[in-house]
Parts: sequence; structure tokens; C-alpha cells
Amino acid sequence: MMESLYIHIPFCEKICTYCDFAKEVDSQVKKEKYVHALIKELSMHREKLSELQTIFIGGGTPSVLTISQLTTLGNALHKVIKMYNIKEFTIECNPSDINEEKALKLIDIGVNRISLGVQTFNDNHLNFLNRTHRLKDIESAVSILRKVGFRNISVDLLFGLPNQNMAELRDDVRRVLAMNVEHISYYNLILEEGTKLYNLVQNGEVDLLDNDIEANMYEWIITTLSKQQFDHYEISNFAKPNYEGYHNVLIWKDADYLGIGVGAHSKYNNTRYANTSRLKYYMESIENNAFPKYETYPYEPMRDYLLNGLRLREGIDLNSFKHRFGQSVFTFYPGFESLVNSGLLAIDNQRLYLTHQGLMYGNTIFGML
Amino acid sequence: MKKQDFEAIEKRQKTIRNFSIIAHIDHGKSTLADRILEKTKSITAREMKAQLLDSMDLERERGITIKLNAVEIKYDHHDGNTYIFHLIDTPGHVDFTYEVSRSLAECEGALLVVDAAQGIEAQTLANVYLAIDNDLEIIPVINKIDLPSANVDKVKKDIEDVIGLDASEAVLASAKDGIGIEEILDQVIEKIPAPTGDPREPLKALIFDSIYDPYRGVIPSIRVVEGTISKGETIKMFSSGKTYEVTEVGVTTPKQVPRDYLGPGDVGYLVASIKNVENVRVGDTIINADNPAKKPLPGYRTLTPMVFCGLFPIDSNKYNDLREALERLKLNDAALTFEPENSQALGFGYRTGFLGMLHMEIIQERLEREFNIDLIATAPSVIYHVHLENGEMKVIDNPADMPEPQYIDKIEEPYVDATIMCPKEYVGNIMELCQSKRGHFKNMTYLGDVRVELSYDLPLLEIVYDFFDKLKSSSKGYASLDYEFKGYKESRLVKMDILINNEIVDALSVIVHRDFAFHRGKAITEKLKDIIPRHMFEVPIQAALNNKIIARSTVRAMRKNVLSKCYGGDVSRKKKLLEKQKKGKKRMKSVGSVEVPQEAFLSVLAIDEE
Repeated sequence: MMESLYIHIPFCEKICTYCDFAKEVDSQVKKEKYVHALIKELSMHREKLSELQTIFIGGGTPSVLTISQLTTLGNALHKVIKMYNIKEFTIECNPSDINEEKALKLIDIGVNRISLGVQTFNDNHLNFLNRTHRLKDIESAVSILRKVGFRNISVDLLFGLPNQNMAELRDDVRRVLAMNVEHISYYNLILEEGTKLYNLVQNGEVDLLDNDIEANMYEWIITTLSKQQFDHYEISNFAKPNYEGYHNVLIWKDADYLGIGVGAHSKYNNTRYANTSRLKYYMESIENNAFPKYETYPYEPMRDYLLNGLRLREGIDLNSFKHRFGQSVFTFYPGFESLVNSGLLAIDNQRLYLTHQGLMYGNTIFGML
Repeated sequence: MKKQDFEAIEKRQKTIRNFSIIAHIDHGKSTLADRILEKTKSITAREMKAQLLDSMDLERERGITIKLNAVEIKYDHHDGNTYIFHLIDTPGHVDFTYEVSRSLAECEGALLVVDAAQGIEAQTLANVYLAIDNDLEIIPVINKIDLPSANVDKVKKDIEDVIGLDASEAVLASAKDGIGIEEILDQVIEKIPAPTGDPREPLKALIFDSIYDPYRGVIPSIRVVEGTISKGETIKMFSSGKTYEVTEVGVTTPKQVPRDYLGPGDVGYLVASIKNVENVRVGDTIINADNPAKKPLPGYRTLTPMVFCGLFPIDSNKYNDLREALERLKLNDAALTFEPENSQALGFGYRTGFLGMLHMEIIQERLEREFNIDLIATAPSVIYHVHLENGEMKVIDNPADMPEPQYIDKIEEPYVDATIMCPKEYVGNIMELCQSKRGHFKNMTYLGDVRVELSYDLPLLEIVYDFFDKLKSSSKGYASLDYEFKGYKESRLVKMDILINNEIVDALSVIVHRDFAFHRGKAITEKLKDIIPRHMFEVPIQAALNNKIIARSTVRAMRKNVLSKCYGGDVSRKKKLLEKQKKGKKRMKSVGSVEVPQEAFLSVLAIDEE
């Protein structure tokens, strides 16, 4: 049974320099049709939704939906989902999209957690990233959200931006701490093919940050946030006590989830599915009452278990692993012994987890899987 | 065979014309061959791929011919007869002189194609002389007359002055625009003699090439010189004595088309379920087992390789595949030599000998593309004569085998006679270059008003290193180089070791001239610093002469390599990223605890010293 539902909204007011998710510049007509397609796709999966615990609306930019579109979507969710069972209902928002009316509407449809796409507080960098908001929009968004009653706000930030320096990073960290939010996701900017940034870098117009500076930034973030009661519970995620992102934690712990919308991924029946990432094909298949599946991936239980589980700082339980897969993780991956010896992995209380050093070299470890 | 059959064969023989095309790279040889194929309607437009004779992908990409190709063409002449042409393509690069001499031996004539704007190049000259040596009838063709910079009169004068051929009847052509093609075909018929040879004599056919077909075995390309060959006959390889039953004979049009028999002058192929590549030696004579000819045809002179490098499969499981692939390539490339080599750093591979740098590059690319073997190639080396204190002389083609300096009395290195042709405005640059490459000036000749021919004695080592690239850049690409082995000469040479993470990597050792050692060491360590990826620890890179460090650089430690984002939906794409990372690793070789990418082993070459 599905524990989590992900809904993808591919529309954005502007396209960010670094983004390679399924997205496109929004248009009212398309959004309207898309919301109806989502509702139809949702009803096609109706029987899977009875045990749902979390909902996550991501994008793109879900906050570009209008009040009436949010209402339509909300009503549909209430029809097929027992909303009183939902522990966490998150929506990603752009600071510049938040106004009191919209914030109230979100509460109205059952949203109880906001993931705010701040990225940085520095207006120059925001401009380079082609974000629609500026520093003042962030401050106003948070105060509106608090005012209407949101008790669980997460902020998404990026570090390792081209030309970003340590002083700017420290300023970002200081500002996010001052906002007193419950949760912070702090991602390292990753260069993805097919983005504007990728072209800029290829053409030599923009240089990526040096690995040393990125490492310094990451360490600074971990140290500083940890001092301020933030628990570093996953490679890129920090939470005040009891405010871990439940939706993602479920997924990292290998729960089944359903993704609807263009480019959304799902995992159930021991299979991974991906919807088509082309909006046109998505709309056509929904119109024809067909699942808009584009590809399926084999579900690799052990590899996925470790790839996900080791991202969490608590790591994996060695006994549960053995129970599930029949043998010790060291039997399957003899190389792990040397990782433990060299201090990248540690064992404590029958749990295998990444050390601080292991965090820095995650790919070395994941690459062995 | 009956009397009337022989008469038919002889009648047909009179209509055969075998010729090749001699031209410098870029002078339009392959385009001309394509036009001839079109003109004679040998191929339909649909079959026409640009530069059809160059069938290897690699050839088409580089616009050069590597292996010779032979096609049969039928041409209805206006004299009412139908003629049979065998067009044999020749490579145009110095490294492939051997292939050229092979293809010329199959012909009675040759088209000499000269670019109307650029004139005669050194390489063309070498091939024309080869053709003259082979008693070929040569038809000059001045190509690219459509170019605004074309200077037909000057090129005609060059042909007469430099080569000594009568250029008064030279065909003026533009292969690109299809001009002059018919006249070329007419001259081929009028001037090039039909092949001689008696169909009644016992069979003598020369193997000049061969291909491997997984279903039909080794398929030799042959030219019949005497006698006939047909399906069902038993043939014998003159040198190996192996016998085979012929299951098919035919011609290439460029498709393989079976025929009843091949007679004197015919150029075609035969299929005889030949399993073993070694038994079909290019240059060998095929005779009839039941009616054997007493003497073989003159074979080819075998060229000796001048440049050596180690080839190692990145995946050590592919060692046997590499051996098989080299054997296949050797099938029609007698100049290629190889023997097992064991490197501490790279494991098991082959020390491979080549005619020159292009030959080396081509073989490496073919191994990777056609045989799917990822390779590490070490820097090319020449053959040194190392005289030891005890009077013994060692022949060394691998720097790793160089004896310790205290045992060495002197080292001799190979020198070449280099001939460089260039427009006169680049003479200064080129002389400077030759000087910096330890060249000894010998002679300078003006060829007409604008072109100059320079001759130098140059160490082959410097040519192998980067001379050709430097020559091109110091002459805007106008200079051409031709060289020929001259002899050995004593030099102050030393072995330079490269240490990665404090370990000597044998495959990176190079021989350098003492005076260049410091400079080269610095350049190599700097280059390696950029090629070797950052590891979780700092990696020192050092260059050492006789255990003394002369240059050093450091690959700084990588401090972080973690995938930042990994949500549910992202798992599959993060997996893709990890796969990519793993694939990248596959192209690396572990040297101690350091992952060294493929290109590092060639980094001792192609160093920009500016």
C-alpha cells in the first residue's frame, strides 16, 4: 500500500539557470487543463490511496497555481484521500508567490508544511539564478506564512553557487537562522546537462566553484546549523527536533510511493515507474484514459535500500538488513570493511552509518554499490 | 578449360585496365574515385555514400585512405567496346608507403592527381617515384581547376620540371564538379596497357590484401598474373604450403559479386573457408595445388617498424581479445608487429611496432572502434642502440628496459633524412623549428619561385614527439614532411622516470635528450597534474633522472564528492550518475592507490611548451 503521494506541477514563471526538472513557463490555459489531468490521473490510482500518510506537491513551482486551481485540486484530493490520516502535507512555494489569500487557501486545503524555495538571500546570486524573488520577498513570505498559522516551514538553500564566497555563504546561514524556521534543506549546486548553467560553463563564461571552497562551505553549514539545535539527519537536510521531513524520510526508508503528474516517479509492486516528462504526451495519455508511464526501472531492493538508507545519518540497522536480505551487508559488499577501517563508515549499536568524513565522500561509498 | 574458353579469356583480358590514383591527402583522390564510379554507373545514386572507396568509418572521418581498396568498373567506351577497369586506391600518407607499393604492384598505370592550387607535395613525389620504379604508365590529372587560386600552367611546369613527366596532355579536371572525368577514362583506355599474362600457364595470383568475415573466414584480395582460378579448384599458398578448396571467386564492384573464374589481369577476391589468419600472408603467391607453378611472384619488400609503444587493455580480461585483434589487423598490415609486454603499472599488453605516428594512431583507433577494446597506449618510443660498458650492444624499444646508467657506455638513436617542402615565407620558422629539434641542416633547394625544399638530418625521436604538429603550426599547415631512415648516431640521452604518489610508473618512463630533460620533466609533471583527477588524498607527481627528482607537481586532495540531492524520484537519476562515474573509472588504471586516466600515458607527448 502506498504511504506517500507526490504531485508534480511543472510550471514556472521563469526557468532557473540550474534546473533540470520537468518544467515549463506557465500559461493559464495549460495550468487549468493540467490540474484537471492530474485529478483524472489521481482517480485512476484511487484504490492505492487508502493508507496514505504524506502528500508532497513539488515542481516546477506549485505556488504558481491560482487560488481557484488550488481549490479544485484540494477538493479532488479530499474526495479520494482520507485527509484526517495525512500526517504531513507539504507544498513547495516560491517566496514571491506568497500572499495572505493564497497562504490561507493552502491551509484550507490541508497543507501543513511549506517548503520555501529561497536558494540564497543574496540578490546578485538570485538574479544570476534567474529566480523571481529577492531578499525582501523572502522576509515577507515567512511573516505571512507565520501569520496565517503555518507551524512547519522548511527553507531550501543552495551553496556552491558560481562566484559565491565564504562571506556570502555565512551571511545566508546567518539569515536563515534568524528566520527561526523548523527545517532547512541545504543543497550543493549540481551542474546538470541541458541547463543554461551547463552551457555557460561549457562555453567558459562561468566557472564552477573550486572543490576546496565547496568543502569548506559544506563543513561550515554543518557546524553552524548543528550548534543551533538543527539535527543533521540526512546528507543535505537539517531539522529542529521532531521536524524531519516525514515524506522524504519514508522514501529514504524504502516506503512505496505514488507520483502523479508529468515526469513524476513512483515505486510500488517492487518496480520503479517514471511518467513521461513531456507535457504534451502526458496530457494526451490522460485524455485517452491511459497511464502516462514512460519507463519502468528495475527495483534493486538491496542497492536502493543502501543508497537511500545510508543517506540518513542514523544509517541502516545491520540486523534488519540481515533479516531482509539473508546475509550481512559485509558479505555482499566486502569493500565496506575497508571503508569502516578508513573511517568513512562507522558501526554503533548495530547501525552502519556515514561518519563526518564519509559524508564528505558520499560518492566513493555509493559508487561501490 | 576448353580452347574457346581461353580465347574468350584472352579477348576479355585485352579490355582490362588496372590503375591506381596517386595524390596527396586533400588533393581530391577519393572524390575523383567517386566520380569515376558515378560516371561509369558502377553504383546507383542511392548507393552513393560520400567517398565510397574509403569504406572504413575512420577513413571517411579523417578523409584519408588507410587500406587499399580495389573495385571493378565496367565502362562502355565510344569505340563500341566495353572495358573493365580495376581501380585500386592508394593511401596518401608517408606512414603507408608500404600499402602504396602494394597497390602499385597491382597496376599497369596510375593517375597522378595534383591540386591545381597547391602543386606537388613531397609525399606525392615519393609515390610517383614508386610508380615509375614499377614501370607504370602515368597520366597526370590537374584537379580542382575550379578553384579561384588554381594555377594550371605553374602546376604543369612543376610536373615537367620536378617529376620529369610530359604534362602537355595532362587532364584538367574538377572532381568536385565532375569536369574532365570522361577524358580521364579515355586516356586510361588509350595509354595504360592491358595486363599481360597467359591464361594457359599454371596459376599465379598475388595476395595484396585480405579481410576477415566471421562466416566465410579469411577472404584474400588477389590479382591473377598467370593462369586462371575458379570455384572447386584446390589452391596452395606458396610460402606456407597450406591448401584450400575454392568455394567462390569474384570481383568487388564495390559489393562482392561472384564470378565463374578470374583470369590474368583480374583483380578480385576468393573464398576458401580459410580459418587461420596466419596462413594468408599478404605478398604471398597463390598457386594451383594440382598444377603448381614452380616459382612464386616477387613479393613485397617488408617495411620495418620505426615507432613502438605499449598497448594495454584497460580491462585486463581483454588481453586475449587484444591479441586476436592485432592478429586480424596484421592480416593486411604486415608492417604491424607486436610481442607480449608486461608492465608493473599496466599489467599484460603488447609492445607494438608501427611505421610512424599516423599508423600508430590509426591502429589504436581501429582497435577501439572495430574491436571494442579500450586501450591504454604508452608514449611512443624509437629503437635505441645501447652500448654497455662490457662491449655488449642492446637493442631497446621500451624505456622501461633501459639498463641502469652506470652500465651504459653510450646510447645511439635513429636519425632520419627529412625532406620538408614549404612556401618560401615559412623557411625561417621551419629552420628555427628544426634547429630546436636537434636537426642538422643539409640542403635547401628552390622549386620554382615560391616553393622551397629543405633537407635535414633529424632524430626520429623528435619526429615521434611532436615535430609534425609543430611543423604544421609553424607553416599554417602548408609544409609537408617526408622522411626516410638514415642511420644511428650517438646522443646524450637519458631515461626520465615519472613517479606518481612516490612510486615509479614504468609505463610513463621516457627517453629524453639530456639538455631537454629539465624542461620536459616540468612540462610532463604539470600536464599530469591536470589529467589525474583529485583523490581523497594529495598525490605528488615527480620527474626523476637517475633517482634524482628534477620536477614536481601536486594533485591537491579532493575534499568532497557527495551527491547532494536524492529524493525518491531522484534515485534512478542518481543511479545514472553513479553509473557514469563507474564508467569513467573503467577508463582509468589503478597505479598503486591512484586512478590514472588513459590519456595520462600519452601526456608525455603533445605538451604545449609555450
